[in-house]
Amino acid sequence: MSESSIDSVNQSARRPNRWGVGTLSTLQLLLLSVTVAALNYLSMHHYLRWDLSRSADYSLSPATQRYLEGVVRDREEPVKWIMAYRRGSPFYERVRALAEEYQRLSRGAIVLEVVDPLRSPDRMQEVAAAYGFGMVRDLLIIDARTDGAPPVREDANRVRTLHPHVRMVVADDVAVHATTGGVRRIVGFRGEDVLTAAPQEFPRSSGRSVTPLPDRRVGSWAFWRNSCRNE
Amino acid sequence: MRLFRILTFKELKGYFLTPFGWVVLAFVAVMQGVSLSTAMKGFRDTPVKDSLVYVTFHTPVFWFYFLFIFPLITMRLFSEEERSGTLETLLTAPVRTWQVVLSKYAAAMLFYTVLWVPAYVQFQAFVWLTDLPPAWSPGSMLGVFAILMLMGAAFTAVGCLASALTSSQIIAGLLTVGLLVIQYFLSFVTVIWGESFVGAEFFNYISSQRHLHYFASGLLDTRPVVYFLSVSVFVLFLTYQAVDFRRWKH
Repeated sequence: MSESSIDSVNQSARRPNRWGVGTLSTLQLLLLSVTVAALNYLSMHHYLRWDLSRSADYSLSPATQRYLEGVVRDREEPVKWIMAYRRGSPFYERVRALAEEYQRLSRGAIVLEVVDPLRSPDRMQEVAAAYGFGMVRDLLIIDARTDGAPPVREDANRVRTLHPHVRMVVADDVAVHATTGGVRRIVGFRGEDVLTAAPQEFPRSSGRSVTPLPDRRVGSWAFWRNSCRNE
Repeated sequence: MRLFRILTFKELKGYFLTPFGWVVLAFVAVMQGVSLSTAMKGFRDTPVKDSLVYVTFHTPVFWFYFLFIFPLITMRLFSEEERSGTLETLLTAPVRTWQVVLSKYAAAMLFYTVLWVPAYVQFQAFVWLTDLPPAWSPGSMLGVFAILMLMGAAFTAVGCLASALTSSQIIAGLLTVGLLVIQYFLSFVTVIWGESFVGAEFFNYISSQRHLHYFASGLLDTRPVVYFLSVSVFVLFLTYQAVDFRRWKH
């Protein structure tokens, strides 16, 4: 065997540089991890939706989209939406999907917070205390205050007045009911109509009165929670 | 590319020219039939506002068999070759590691796709036999099969990784089931603890049940597309590294 062929055999049998390969693999893994994390972060905050449901249940009408583009996005401070719905509520998914669509199309002008009163009782109590209501129904709060005033005022007669730029949309408002044979049934959903109409009343609004419930036990958090458990 | 094609066909033969593949296909077809029957019974007993497709893929039995598909179709991919010693032979052949990994993954994905053909036929049979208009919208049908493919892409990759990590098929299968069950139960984090904590958005983002819910309702979204495909790529890269490690460890 010639000297050159022996060199060739030795060269091909050379042991791999494990440190080099290992370091390169680790580096590749780190880079890919960062890329995947960054990609998913972007995807979480910037996404597209296609509503292929039978009646376009999760889409907003062109009028609402124009409203969001024209009015809401011009605001300096974002509008806060607090969706306080139980997960078991019949309209939880529909209202949530719609609220997320409002948030997405507003491009940051609407900030949505979802609170499940049963799973996050502490946060729910904070919200109920801040907005001065006894949480007895699923509702969505639209808070468009810009003046820093409290969301609710109470006068000497203990009559509470909601700030003119705060609206509460209760679950019953988004449902269309019909009574047949003495039984009241939900026959439709008008979430978009209600959610778009509520903030449009802000500039002309002179305030909304909320009369405190005479029986404070009924308006209390504990009563509401227990009533939900009994359902 | 020719080598990749040859390797893929070799793997496909392992599915379609052995009783194993047909048993898995039969098992999944029967379970899909049970899901559809359960959904149809629900439609007969009470008024249901959701589509038949939605209800079929939200029966308790669905997740039970769905999560077991992946260990069945992936557990033998690498571990069987490792145990019998053919993986070493394969890796000393003039093929690249990525060709080995991707060919096995592609074959598993093709077989997984075939597993859903009976489900589609069953839905069409509902229309043919009942002579009723479809109890679903085209969007919900498209959405369901799209999310099944996306979840399948990620979960099959997880199965490949588990199989590449061990020479025991049983351990690979258990590891796959374990990882997928953890992934499944992570969907319940926001259901149990609510959404008033910092990571709630993340848990919603990775929730397979949530994605299935919206896609089955006809609401398609880019978020699960990015999530499941990026997880697939990442896990396949880990599989590649695990297999490639055998080339240079000695």
